[in-house]
Amino acid sequence: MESKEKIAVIADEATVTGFQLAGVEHGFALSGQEAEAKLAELLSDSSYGIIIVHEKLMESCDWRLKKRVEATAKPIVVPIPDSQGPIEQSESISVLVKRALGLDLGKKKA
Amino acid sequence: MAENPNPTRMELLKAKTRVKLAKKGHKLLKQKRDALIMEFFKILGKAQDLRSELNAQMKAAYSALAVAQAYHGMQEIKAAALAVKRAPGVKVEVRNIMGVKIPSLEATQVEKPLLSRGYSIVGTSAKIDEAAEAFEKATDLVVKLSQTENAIRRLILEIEKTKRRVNSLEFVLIPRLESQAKLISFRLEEMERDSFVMLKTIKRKLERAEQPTE
Repeated sequence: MESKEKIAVIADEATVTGFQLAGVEHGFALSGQEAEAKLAELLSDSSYGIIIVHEKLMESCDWRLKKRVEATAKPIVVPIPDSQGPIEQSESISVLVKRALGLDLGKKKA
Repeated sequence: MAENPNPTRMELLKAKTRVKLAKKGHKLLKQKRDALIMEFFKILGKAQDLRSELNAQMKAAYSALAVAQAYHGMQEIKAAALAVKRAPGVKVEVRNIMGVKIPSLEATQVEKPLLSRGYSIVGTSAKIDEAAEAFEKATDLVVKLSQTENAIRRLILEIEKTKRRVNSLEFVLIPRLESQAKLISFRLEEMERDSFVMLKTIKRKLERAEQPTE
């Protein structure tokens, strides 16, 4: 158990509670600036393996932080849709693919 | 790199070796790019399926939670959540594909049978169980997704970078070096002709100067 990395959630209260029901105990019900600060803090903490955040938080956060998120392989930051459903991410996979390979995957994605 | 190098043999040799080196690097980078793209397509399909699956699962989880909340209120759900046994962590290892660090996860099953969740099933209702189950499934998906999606993101960025390098080598650096080498060799040839003509002229002049005296 000790060698395993923890999973953390930074989201609104309902989501954090939900994930706590699933056994994810490191939930941080924060938003805005505080959430960003927490994310930055967790990024440099090597005891976390996965950080689950809302897509909207990822969208709204600072570009420097975004860059850091992209540059770190561990912990992994996973954006999830919030209760309003998924939003179109500006840095989503299909957009990136289109830019890098000139290939449109838009139709395949549901 | 000087734009107007001295037209010497030394510089010509240098320019030629530089062209060779650049071509070699270009070839290597091209191979790297192709390898990355192959790796990329291998995991692309998986990531897309997982992403839409997660979106659906999250939606289900939110509605299950909303129902549970309507039945019990937030307080009770939180109490149940506190009693839940902590999920096993994940093991994140960093794999290296052509210089790209890709996280590799040891999958752990988060979904648990009803009785081992930790909270009292007598004190709560099936609504909470449903919500818990939905979120467990979602967590499982997140764990799976995190690996593939992150790997893909990283691969794409690296592919982009490599592509840019390949192109800059192919269309800027190599042509420039080649034209430089060409310029030097032209100048050298020109100088050779120049001195050849000069020698001829001198010889002729010398011969002409010698003849009248004889």
